[in-house]
Amino acid sequence: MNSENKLPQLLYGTSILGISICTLLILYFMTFAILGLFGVPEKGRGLTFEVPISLNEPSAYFHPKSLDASFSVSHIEIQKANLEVKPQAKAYFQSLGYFHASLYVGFFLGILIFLAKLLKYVKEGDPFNPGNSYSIRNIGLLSIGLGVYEFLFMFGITRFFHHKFTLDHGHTLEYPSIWDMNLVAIFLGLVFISLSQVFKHGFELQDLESQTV
Amino acid sequence: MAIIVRLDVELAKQKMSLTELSERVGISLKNLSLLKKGRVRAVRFSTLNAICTALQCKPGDILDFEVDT
Repeated sequence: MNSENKLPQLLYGTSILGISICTLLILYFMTFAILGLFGVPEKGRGLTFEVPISLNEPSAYFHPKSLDASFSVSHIEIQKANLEVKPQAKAYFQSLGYFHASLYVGFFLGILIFLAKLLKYVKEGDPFNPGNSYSIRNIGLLSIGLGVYEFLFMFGITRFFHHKFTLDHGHTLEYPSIWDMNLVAIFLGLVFISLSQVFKHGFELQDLESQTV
Repeated sequence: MAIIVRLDVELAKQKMSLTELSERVGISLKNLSLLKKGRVRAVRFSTLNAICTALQCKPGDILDFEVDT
């Protein structure tokens, strides 16, 4: 292997490793998400959960950390009026967080799969392959999807739990604003989609070159 | 495509094989074969120059144009 192919090889290996880690994380999250549906009590399982609700932000919203499988309802009091107090309510809440984490990591898994496919062709010295244009476009679409999904999840959680939960000091969940959206992911998605057009043009030029004597 | 490649005619006139022409002009046999069959999209002037030099002919002897009916 010459020195020119070492970087693509390294990146390809890293993306494969990332795919494996994401797959394991999804299995881990989904396991606890499904267990939560059955209302498995938190006590006795040795699990701790924290809801990272920030009361410092003007629009506090429920936003489970995607890669940190820790959710708790320690800062939330269930309003007596609008919600029947169920012993499994806490587990359902946690289950929701795990489902969200699974989907969140799922987006990254999709991006890594297309990235590995792209790097495989680059490693073989064929970057301007028609499949690469689609891979880059799909990475962009997944990135945009991730940003939109995050916002929709925050909005949905707030919509569902708005009057059912109060936070410390009587605060309630606030609807997320446009600035709470993951604009970086959406912006990068647009960049990748634009880049896919460049690779598509590159393939056409390479194809013309290959048929020129 | 209306452009016809008559490379085989010139090769026959010069009694030269495609392999020998390939060695003289420095183009792969595969590409020359594709050119002979008219399955290329473009030809460089440098290639045309090398072929004409090797076959002692003019570009018009190798390339022809026929309107599709």
